Amino acid sequence: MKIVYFNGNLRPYKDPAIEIMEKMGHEVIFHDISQDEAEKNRWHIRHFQMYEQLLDKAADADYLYFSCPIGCPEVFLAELKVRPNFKAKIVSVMMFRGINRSLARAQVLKELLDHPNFAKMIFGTMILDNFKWPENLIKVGFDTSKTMLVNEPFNEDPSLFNSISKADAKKAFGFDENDFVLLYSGSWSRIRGADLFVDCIKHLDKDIKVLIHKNIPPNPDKVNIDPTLRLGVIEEAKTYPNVKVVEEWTLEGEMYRYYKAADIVACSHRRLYEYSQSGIPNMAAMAKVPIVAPDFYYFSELINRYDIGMKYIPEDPVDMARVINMTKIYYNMIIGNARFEESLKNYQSIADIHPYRVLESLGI
Amino acid sequence: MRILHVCFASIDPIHAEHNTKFIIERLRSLGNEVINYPFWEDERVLNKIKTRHFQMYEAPLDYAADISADLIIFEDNLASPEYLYFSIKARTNYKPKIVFFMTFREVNRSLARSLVIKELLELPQIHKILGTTMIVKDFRWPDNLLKVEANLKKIELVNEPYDEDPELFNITKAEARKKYGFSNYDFIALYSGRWIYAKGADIFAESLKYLDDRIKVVIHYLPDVIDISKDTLTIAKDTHRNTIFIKERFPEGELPALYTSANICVCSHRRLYEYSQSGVPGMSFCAKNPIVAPDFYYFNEIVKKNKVGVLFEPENAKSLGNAIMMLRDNYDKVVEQANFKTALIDYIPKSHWADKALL
Repeated sequence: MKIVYFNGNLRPYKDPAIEIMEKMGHEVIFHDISQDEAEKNRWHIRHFQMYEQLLDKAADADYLYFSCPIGCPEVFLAELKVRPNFKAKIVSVMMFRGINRSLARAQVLKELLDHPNFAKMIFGTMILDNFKWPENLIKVGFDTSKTMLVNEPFNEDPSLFNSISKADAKKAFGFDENDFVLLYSGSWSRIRGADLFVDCIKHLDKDIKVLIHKNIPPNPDKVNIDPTLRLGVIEEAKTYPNVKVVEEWTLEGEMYRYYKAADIVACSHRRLYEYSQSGIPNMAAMAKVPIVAPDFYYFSELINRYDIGMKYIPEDPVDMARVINMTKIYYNMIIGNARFEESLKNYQSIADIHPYRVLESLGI
Repeated sequence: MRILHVCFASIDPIHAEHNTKFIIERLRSLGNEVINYPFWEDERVLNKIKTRHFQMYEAPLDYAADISADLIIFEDNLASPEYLYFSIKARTNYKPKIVFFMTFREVNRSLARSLVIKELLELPQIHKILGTTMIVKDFRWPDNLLKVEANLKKIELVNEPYDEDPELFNITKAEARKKYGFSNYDFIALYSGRWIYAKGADIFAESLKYLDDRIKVVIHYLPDVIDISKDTLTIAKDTHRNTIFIKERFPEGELPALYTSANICVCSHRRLYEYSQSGVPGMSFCAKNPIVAPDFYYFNEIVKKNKVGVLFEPENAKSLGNAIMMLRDNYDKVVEQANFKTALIDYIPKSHWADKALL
């Protein structure tokens, strides 16, 4: 079979699944977005051009596989509709973000899934068993039988977390091994609540050391990072004496250093992130570090089930700080109760999960 | 009629009334009750960029239903018709009728976008689209809209007004230049507006290397609306030493003096701007300045018909630079032949838009 494989990541990444599919005798055309100049301007062209190019490329394929969520499903659907002779079946990863806030978005997903070319929608979740479908999807009559739930894989090799001691990991960032370290790691964006986290710092106990890992792309000016984030947030963070900011483009295979150096990991995500997949809880669990997270699905569900951290009132930086301070006081008790390994039972490595997704979707 | 008036630029009640006063006053004078959608109270809508615009439409739609409005008028150009379409479809038995403004941007580049507009027009809730153009008379409909067989009868064409009162352009060039500290001997090429990709700001910056120092380049941009690399501003500065920057958002009433101080105005827009409305030509013609513009619809139609400027090969910095130089070298002749008045003939006062919305 001829499969067009689409990578939506802005950095070069070749999925191991491709090689596996090729070994099985399939012809795989790899459409790598990170190498596509026109695509990099997609912020300006509202995705139409991106999907046009991709669908044209997949015109005579048997399958079109999206390894990333379709960011603008409404545009993609319109592009499908103007191609009545398009024959490839489509399999795509999709995300729930914003789904319960927008009935219109739920309607789009329903209509996209109802399209005859659409074979399977794969949703990344943090919860697999007893999954609670978003209310808006149920309301619009979404056909869940054409979907598949998968747990986001780790992006790190679990053995890496044992390759360094906590004391050495702390020292590598200039901390003393007895320092109590709070980590913020990941994209520096509004949706992740980077500004809320900085607002929280001034309410923290002064002996808590804060490690901010601001993961920036190599050419931050060339890509749309987040124009809605309040200006000067990172500069504000640097003014606190207990804060250390590391700004670097950290690739897979290096993230474990940050988690290993931490005693708590903060998830400051805004409500918009409800139902969105985050890699933080599993990375933290692998490092056996509790999270402090907003009280909404899925974070709340993970904490309720496995006691892997503490919850705070979403988008309330004062409450976030209060909960972090409390976590420090009751740290040994929290660590003692946390069932990190149990929380990780469903997660799979990226090499395992992608072939699994593809093969099952193709019915092979 | 009870009308919910939606203007995304409304950041407070004063803005809501002021920004849109011509339309609102006209609607009220016709006996309608007009209520402004209170964006300033809606935190979710203020985060519209992160919510992919859905909230922009869903929140006002629900508000209109709650207050039993008969009609909603979305006054800003509808950037994402597909969002409005799904927002309406997701609401069963939705009663209020809807009028919205829309540019034809990208319609000809994307058949899918035309299909979205066609499907939107077929919704019974859509009363009218007010299509903003630079040309109303003998308008040439985009091929793609014809191809998908959109119901064009539901589209009323309106010409974007030049945001300013034409009387304000009575300031002399000498007075205007004094205001900004420019010499009467300067030959000024003005770039005014957002420093963004669609407007080809980077193409303009690159074109400056083809200009000589006799041309003074004035770049007026809004520092908070930049969506391309800021390096392009440095390139503009380093490439052409006779370049100055004005970075502020002028209050209404200030722009006529800036435009009048110039000799020519530059439209460096990219091809995706084809069929899109721009306020620059109107302002420029009011100040009796020719334009340098890309050779695509509508710019080329206006320039050719009224001899009000010079065209260049779209997205080609060298061609743009050459066109600016050519206009400078033949400036007096071009101005003498230009029919600025006829180029402005399609423009209509914004208050008349209200009548078109209710047709």
